[in-house]
Amino acid sequence: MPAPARPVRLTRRQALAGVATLGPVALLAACSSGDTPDEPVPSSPEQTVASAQAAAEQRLIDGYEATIAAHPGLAATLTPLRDQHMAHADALGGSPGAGTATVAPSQGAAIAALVTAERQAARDRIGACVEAREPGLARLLAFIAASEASHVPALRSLGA
Amino acid sequence: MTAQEAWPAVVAGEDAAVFAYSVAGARVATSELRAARAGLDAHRANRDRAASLATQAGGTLPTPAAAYELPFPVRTPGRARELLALVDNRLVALYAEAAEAAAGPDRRWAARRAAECATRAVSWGAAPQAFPTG
Repeated sequence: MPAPARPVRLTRRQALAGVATLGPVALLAACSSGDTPDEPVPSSPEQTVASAQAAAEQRLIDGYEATIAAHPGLAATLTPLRDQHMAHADALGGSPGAGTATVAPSQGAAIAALVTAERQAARDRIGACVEAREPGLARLLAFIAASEASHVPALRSLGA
Repeated sequence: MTAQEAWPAVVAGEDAAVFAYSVAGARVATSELRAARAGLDAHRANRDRAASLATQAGGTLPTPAAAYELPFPVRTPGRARELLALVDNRLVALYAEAAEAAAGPDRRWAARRAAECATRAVSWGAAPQAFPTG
């Protein structure tokens, strides 16, 4: 994994170098697959942690899908956030699957429900981060918690 | 990265953030001065905690620079917000590295700071990211 450039000089070039730290995805994939990728990898506590978090990501995706369907006017803001949860689920090794979610008829209440879900998600990801034994998984979960916490002000800007 | 390396990197990042908040925090819109001041206070406190963790881990504390080269001139409230968002987002990766290197309560603290920094960055106008970076 590339070490991030230390931000002593806040140059644009160094800021861009930060993008190279997107390695958690590849790192986790490397850590969670065995030497023989064609064979099923035995379930480990780490995979249990990652799977549970991936399933939670899928529930968030379901919540966003249902909210976008019920309140299409919010699609421009909500779709990128949903896509980020898809990236999280993918990084955690989750397999795509669609569920269902109920949505409040009022737009404000629907947004408030997503705010609550994102806050809980960030808390859960931090809890799983602390529990993780594989350091790369801890790093990935810290990034995901950060992303989810940052969704809250984005949702709030919609007027929730 | 070991804790001995990760915590000093956080300290260096927080030193830069304190500088950025000191410079740009005074140039945000009047309605945002309070938020900028709260961010500066948070970065100062986090810098001190990270320095303590760096020392505990046997790391060497970086010397803060007297001044930092800014990536762009900060002459307007909009540019000030942009700089604050940038430094906060850049800290996320440093805290994630520290979370990887630490354990227990120190790891929790690092993960919470990663979340706090990413949240502040979006509050300053950055677009949310799946894996926040500067």
